[in-house]
Amino acid sequence: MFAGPEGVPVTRELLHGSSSLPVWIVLLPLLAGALLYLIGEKRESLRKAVALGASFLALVGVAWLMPAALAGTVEYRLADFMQLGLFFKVDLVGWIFAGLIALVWFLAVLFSLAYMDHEHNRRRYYSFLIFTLGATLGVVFAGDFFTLFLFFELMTFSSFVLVIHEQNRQAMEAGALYLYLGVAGGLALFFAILLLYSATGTVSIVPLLGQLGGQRTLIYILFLIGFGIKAGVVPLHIWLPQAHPVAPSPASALLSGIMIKAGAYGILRVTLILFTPAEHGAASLWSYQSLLGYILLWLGIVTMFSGALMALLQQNAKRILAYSSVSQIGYIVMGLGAAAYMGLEGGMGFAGSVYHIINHAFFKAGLFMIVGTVYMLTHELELPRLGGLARKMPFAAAAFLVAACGIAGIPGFNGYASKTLLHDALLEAYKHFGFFSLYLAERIFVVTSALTVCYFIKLFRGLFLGPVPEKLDRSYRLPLSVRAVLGAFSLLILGIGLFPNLVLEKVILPAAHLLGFEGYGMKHLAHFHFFELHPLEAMGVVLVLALVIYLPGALRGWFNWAPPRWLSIHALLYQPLTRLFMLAVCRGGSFLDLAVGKIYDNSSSAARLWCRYIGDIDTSLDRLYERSGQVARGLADRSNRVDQALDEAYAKTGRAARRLVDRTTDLDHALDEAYAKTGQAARRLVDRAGDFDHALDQSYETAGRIARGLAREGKRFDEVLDEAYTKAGEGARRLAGKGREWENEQSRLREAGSAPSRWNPSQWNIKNLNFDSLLLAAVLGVILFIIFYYGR
Amino acid sequence: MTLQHHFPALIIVIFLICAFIMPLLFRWRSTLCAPALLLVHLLALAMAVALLVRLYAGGPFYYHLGNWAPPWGIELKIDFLRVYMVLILVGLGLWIFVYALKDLAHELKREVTGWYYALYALLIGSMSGMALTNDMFNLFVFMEICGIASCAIISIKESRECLEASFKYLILSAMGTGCYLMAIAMIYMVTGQLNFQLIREALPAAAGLYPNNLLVATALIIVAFGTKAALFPLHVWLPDAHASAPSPSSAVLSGLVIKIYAFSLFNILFFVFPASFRQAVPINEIVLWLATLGILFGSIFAMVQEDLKKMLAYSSIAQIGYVFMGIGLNQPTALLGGFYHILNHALMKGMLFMVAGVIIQATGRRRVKDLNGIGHVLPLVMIAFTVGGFSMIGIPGTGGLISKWYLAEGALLANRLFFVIVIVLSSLLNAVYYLPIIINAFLNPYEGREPVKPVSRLMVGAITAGMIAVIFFGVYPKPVIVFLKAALAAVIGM
Repeated sequence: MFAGPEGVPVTRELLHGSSSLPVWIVLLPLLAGALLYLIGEKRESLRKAVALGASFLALVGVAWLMPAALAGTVEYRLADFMQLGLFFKVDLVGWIFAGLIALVWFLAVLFSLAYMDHEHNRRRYYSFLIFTLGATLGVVFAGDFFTLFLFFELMTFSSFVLVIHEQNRQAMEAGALYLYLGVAGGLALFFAILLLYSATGTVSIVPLLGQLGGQRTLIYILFLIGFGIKAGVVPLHIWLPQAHPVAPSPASALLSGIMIKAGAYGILRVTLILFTPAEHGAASLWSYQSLLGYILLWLGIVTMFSGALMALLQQNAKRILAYSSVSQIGYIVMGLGAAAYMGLEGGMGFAGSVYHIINHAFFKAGLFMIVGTVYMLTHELELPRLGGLARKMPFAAAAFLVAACGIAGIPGFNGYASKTLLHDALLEAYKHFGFFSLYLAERIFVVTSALTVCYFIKLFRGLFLGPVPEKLDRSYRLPLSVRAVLGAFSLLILGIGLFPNLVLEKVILPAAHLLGFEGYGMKHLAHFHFFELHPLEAMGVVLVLALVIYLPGALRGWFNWAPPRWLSIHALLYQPLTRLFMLAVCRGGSFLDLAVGKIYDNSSSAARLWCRYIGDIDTSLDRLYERSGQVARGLADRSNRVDQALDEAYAKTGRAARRLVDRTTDLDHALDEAYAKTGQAARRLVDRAGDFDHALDQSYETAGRIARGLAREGKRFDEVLDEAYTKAGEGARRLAGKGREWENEQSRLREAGSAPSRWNPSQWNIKNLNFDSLLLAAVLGVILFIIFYYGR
Repeated sequence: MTLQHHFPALIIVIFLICAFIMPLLFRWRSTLCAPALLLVHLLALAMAVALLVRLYAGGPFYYHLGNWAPPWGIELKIDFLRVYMVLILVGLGLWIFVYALKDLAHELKREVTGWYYALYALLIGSMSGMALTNDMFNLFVFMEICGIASCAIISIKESRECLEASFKYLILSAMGTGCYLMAIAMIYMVTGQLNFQLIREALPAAAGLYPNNLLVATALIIVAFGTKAALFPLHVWLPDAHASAPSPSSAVLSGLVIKIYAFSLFNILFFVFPASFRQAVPINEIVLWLATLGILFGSIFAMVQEDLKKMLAYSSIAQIGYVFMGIGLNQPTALLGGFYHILNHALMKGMLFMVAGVIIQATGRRRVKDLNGIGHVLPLVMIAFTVGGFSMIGIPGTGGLISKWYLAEGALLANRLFFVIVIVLSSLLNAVYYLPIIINAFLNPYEGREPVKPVSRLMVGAITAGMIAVIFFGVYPKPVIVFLKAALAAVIGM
């Protein structure tokens, strides 16, 4: 990569020095941050001194590194730290970022001295402010992706505390969003680095595109998500407009001016170094990089345009600035995309992008601090309730005008230089490839620049022009430190704006050489004329377009239109996604658990019902037996009696015969008598038989009664079953009703925001031991099945 | 025969003897109990270190109980991995015991403290036995001891939930050991051996003749150890048991006990079954997928818990999934990650349960919602909770990241991208339920009129030590990683 074109030796000899200075620059603020937390709540001046001293020392340290960074790289390796080791490496690109970070941070700390006097919880604020400086410096000093990832995470967590400083509901919500997206981004990075490591065996930041293999697209997407969240690339920007405005103004300035650049820095390192081929030859790799660049370019265009559009529609001063940051990060990403798109010819895009990073840090941090000054003095951020402050604080108004001119890209201010370069990069790409889409991109670029001018006119008018509201009609005095900071920013913006070639030639061009850019673009850059007719003309078009948009818009009140909530990306994309996620996660689990629970309840009640039915049948059977037993006994009794009667009859006939023998004389009489008696006996016998018949009849009758009873029981059983069916039906209906109720409840809950849920989720534990055993058996069965299926 | 020669057995035996003596000693001189058990721990630790020294000098070796050689006698095997487990068990057992010294006074009646010590010794001793034994049936015996002791150590706190939970645990753990016993029977039927090594030698021949026996035994073994170690669908007993137990019990159960079963499963899968058998039957795949389900569902169930300890218990189900995933991926780097996670999770979950214990003791709060602003009243303890939570999520600087890194790298080396996604996703899920607690604890004001009860310094000291260890193993993991790499290389030839 460092070899020149066609094997020509590199133009500059690179020195690889080893020094622990970068480590100390990173470590000093980290330690100072910890120290600041130990300083008591009351010791105000000591705290300020330590904070200012630490940030100043960091600035000095970074300045100290400058000659070494210009000459080559400074490396330092801390092996064995977290197994992969920490690796610090400062090259010129990293140094540019570090210089920017240290400088703006120092100014922000200076600004905080006055600003934070009105705020609570200063100990925590200063502690984390300085700590975050160390983490952010660590990001740009990192020599490999693992180290970068570590400091990136550290930065996310420590800056979270800055975001939620106010600790009101709005701040907590914004902070939660920031943190969760930060963690998600961190995990995406982790995943990407892991894939990178497994594909190449290294996590160094060197050209590796050739070795990445089939997962390169996945790796790139993951890196892009990880860094894109921090940078605020649309559609990953949603946390930014919420989190930046709620932080204290100096912290907002750093979040918007510096920390989103850490994301841009990551994208730069990944796109322009990691995803470049190590050698010149491989055409397919270059075309792959070019494709990535093209996608990135359009991401940038979409980001810049939608950010600018949203900024125009805001009424809160800090929200305008936050959306403006989204828009400006779009410029930067677009430039990086253009650079990657053009491959080795992409010097222009790179230069524009890095230049814009520098410029945006100055004007956006400056703007946030100016708005912060206004807030500090008036405690008001809503534009409709502000106005006319130009007379009350002319210094702030002047500084604001300078910074606004910078961001709008007015010639003579710093934004002009970088925007011109970025515009040229787009034009160059269009000239080179001639796609219509690039022409379109260039047009959108111009329109976005015009929109930028529009929302700054709006912001300036809202803050500084017009009548002064009665509430604010008093005199204000800006503290000296605030004046110094605002003055410093104005000077920086003007200085770069008036001598744009100085920064370009001193640091940006060498950095571009370092990344191996070459060809026409670089030659063009080497003696770029900013104040020529062509770029000035382009700026003129932008200004005219801005007026064309602004005048009717302001007259008709277009810019006061608040887009409905459903149109926001939050409502369109994230809410459904999170809802789906939570639904899948919580409802799925709870539904399963509840369903299992219900199956228990229902199955047990069904079993109980069954038992009752069976019991009923049993008792009726019992009764049947009993009755038939009684009948049988009755029958036996009766037949007994018949027997007796017969016996008696025999006995009597016997007696009669004896009497017949005894009384031969009275034969006739006796015979008569015997006849009569046997006749009587026979009659009686017949009588008894009749009795027997009667008894049988009776038993038949009883049996019939019993059968009738049985039939009745059966009917009752039927009825009971019917009842059960109706009950089950009712139950089902009730369940359905409950379901509807639940749904209603849910929708109500959704409306109410968050409220305790109706079902107690901690009860979701399957208590039933039988079920557990069943589960065990089922798992055993499944495993057996699998094992047998494969084992044979 | 010097005393030194008997160290492997002595590690186990001194705990068992101690367990017998403890209740008696408690009647006689109750103040002597705690120092005695501490002494036993220290002795065991010293012996484990001595074993390690001997390992470095001469490599793995065997110990025959009572000098009976394997087909008849019980054999203990001492290699690097087993000593690693013993060191974790005894070392962290000591750590948790130090915490328990003060905590028990608040959770238990004084009369049962002696019994508690006995059970604790029994638990650590039986787990050491499980780590060292090289015999299927001996493993079963130690499992039973461990299972009963775990149930008792839960139900020693005589509340309704504890009894209910421990009864459920008892039944399911009995079913688990029952499965294991049947598996032993199946294997013994066809090989006639109980020693790991001898079974391994006899298996190939037996597998050809009686494949069904072995297949059934395999399934039974997975279910047995899955139940004991709370592998996903068999986890049902864990949340209640771990959440209702006294805090030191929760720490030891969640931190150590479920790990030792995972380790035993690893031992059986890798040392009893020949590699060819593992390739023919998808044992690893089953373990891997169940682990994946556990990782996801454990976190999902944890998210909706309202009780702090229950949330931690569900989180254990997810975390044991990592260990099983390391085993299931069947890849040396992933295995390394899994083993490193055994240490990490034992540390962080032990610490988190201790924190929960302190919070409950000091404020009487155990619902997640009631923890607002608790960081203002118990700062050090909640910082430890933060470190533990970060480690669960896998924030750099904590041990969790290192184990996840190796697991994920192993998954990639095995060409299983899906499981990397699972790991990353589960980190996000962990963040969803750990971060709000941390944020609310520090950034919301503390509400509550009742004063915060003072917490013993010893308990806070134990927690702080755990926090330092979590950070240490996250920042400087090299010694353990190098050790584990060598151990795994020696054991499975990576």
